[in-house]
Amino acid sequence: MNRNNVPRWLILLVLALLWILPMASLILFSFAPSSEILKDQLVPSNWTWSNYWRVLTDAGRGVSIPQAMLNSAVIMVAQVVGILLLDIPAAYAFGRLRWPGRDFVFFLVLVTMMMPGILEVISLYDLMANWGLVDTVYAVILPGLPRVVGIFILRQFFQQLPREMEEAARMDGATDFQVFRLIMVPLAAPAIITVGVLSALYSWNNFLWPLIITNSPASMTVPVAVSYLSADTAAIINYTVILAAAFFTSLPMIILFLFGQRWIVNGMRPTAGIK
Amino acid sequence: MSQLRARLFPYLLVGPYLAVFAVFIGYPIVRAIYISFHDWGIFGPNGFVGLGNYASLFADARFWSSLLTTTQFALIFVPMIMVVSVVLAVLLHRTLPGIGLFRTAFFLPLVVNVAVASIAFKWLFEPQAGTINQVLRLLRLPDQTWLAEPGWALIAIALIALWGSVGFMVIILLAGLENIPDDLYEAAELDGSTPIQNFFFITLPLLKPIMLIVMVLSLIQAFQVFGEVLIMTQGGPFGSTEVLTMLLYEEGFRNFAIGRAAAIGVIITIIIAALSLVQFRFFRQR
Repeated sequence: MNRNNVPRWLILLVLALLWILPMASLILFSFAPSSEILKDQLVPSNWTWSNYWRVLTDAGRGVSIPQAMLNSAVIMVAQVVGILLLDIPAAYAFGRLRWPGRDFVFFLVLVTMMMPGILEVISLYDLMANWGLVDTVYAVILPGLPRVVGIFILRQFFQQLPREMEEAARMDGATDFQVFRLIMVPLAAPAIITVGVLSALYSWNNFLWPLIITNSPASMTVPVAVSYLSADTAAIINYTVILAAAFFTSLPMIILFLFGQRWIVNGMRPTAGIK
Repeated sequence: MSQLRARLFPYLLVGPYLAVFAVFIGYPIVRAIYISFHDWGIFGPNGFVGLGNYASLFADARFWSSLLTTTQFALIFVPMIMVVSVVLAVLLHRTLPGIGLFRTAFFLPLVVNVAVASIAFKWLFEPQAGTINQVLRLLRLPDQTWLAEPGWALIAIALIALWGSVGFMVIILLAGLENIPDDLYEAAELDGSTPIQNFFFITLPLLKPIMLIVMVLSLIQAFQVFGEVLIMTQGGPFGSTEVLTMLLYEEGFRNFAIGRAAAIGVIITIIIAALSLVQFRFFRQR
């Protein structure tokens, strides 16, 4: 290591340790018996799996964590598939095709990204009530389908794909749809994976809308169920169970992150979609 | 025939998306504005009131106090995340032994949802057994009750938001740093410039457009902060963390004063739009 780099390395080490402290402390005490948490200690002195057993069987307040994880998994699969099916063709039309009104419509779609989600939530609740969908997974899934971020990333990617292959295919008599389906979609695979991974993250972690539209433990998603557990006034007694539930339900996303960090980070760059 | 098909093709691709967009994003926004002009309760509209909801909010001390709290939160959060994310981005920009692990430490919170982050911090801030107070006691410094203290609770919430979002801002800033040509630094070093001088005279000025984006994004985030408040403090202690979104939630989903809630939503939107525009205007000109 270059001598100039030593101070930089040390500062980073201190900051990185600070940054993992909240999760590290959460994970450590999720393995502690509940009697451990009122002692003055930074690391528990006794260890147990019992909190995780409670998470799997009876987390308290009538919440079933396995049920919440199943709900979140179903919602995630439905939203990722739905988002990709809607976003890919639309982004292609915005980025690659010419049609009257295109730029204006794209501008309208983009502007809504600036709108606070809580504004939409008020009337979405009304809409779901009219459709009889309150407190169902369908009500959680539907409003998450038109993801504007996905449109944005995919459109940029389609825009910078070279013209040559498209022209060659047209010479061979390919139709518009064949060019899209057989040439453009396969070329856009990196951007499609990026949008898929980001959509999965969004879906699993989304809090506001599932909080408002679900109210029975049977239909809660993971973040709602975990926050419902922690809202108990007697929560401090069960806090080790809540810590275990928090860590256990985060594992799928932590694993996704460890394998897909590249896609997540690339997708968040302002130049996402440009290779 | 085939010409007609060619002309219809873009609409066939974009149509399904736009239909879903219109129902679940476009319509709810327009309808929220419509609702805000009505006396709207749990069973629907009780009549048009014009700007009545807005007038009653402007006459309500609780509205002004939550607007003030939100502004305070933004004034704590935005400078904090700007400084920390710029420092981190500069530290993480060039390669070092273990740089991948360092980046992972700051990016990992991006996949942790707000409920889990709030639970982790509630544990850290726990007055008796929480890590922060234990460390303070070890250092013989006075401990605090953090979330139960009006002066500290908002700062604690800003810290959770910082912990969760700094990675996103760092990713954006790193992309900006990559666009600064290396020869600038090499030339400066030949002239005897120190790393600190490089930072202030090369990095910061050239990073300004990206920092503007980070500032606008974090300001938008500050005015929308919600989950952390709901889980950590429910707006307390003594209303000291009751931000606008929290007031909206209370009015709309607990008191069922839906017209008022919609009006608060419209006001938040207008504030965000106005602040973003002002920032772009003000900083672009310089």
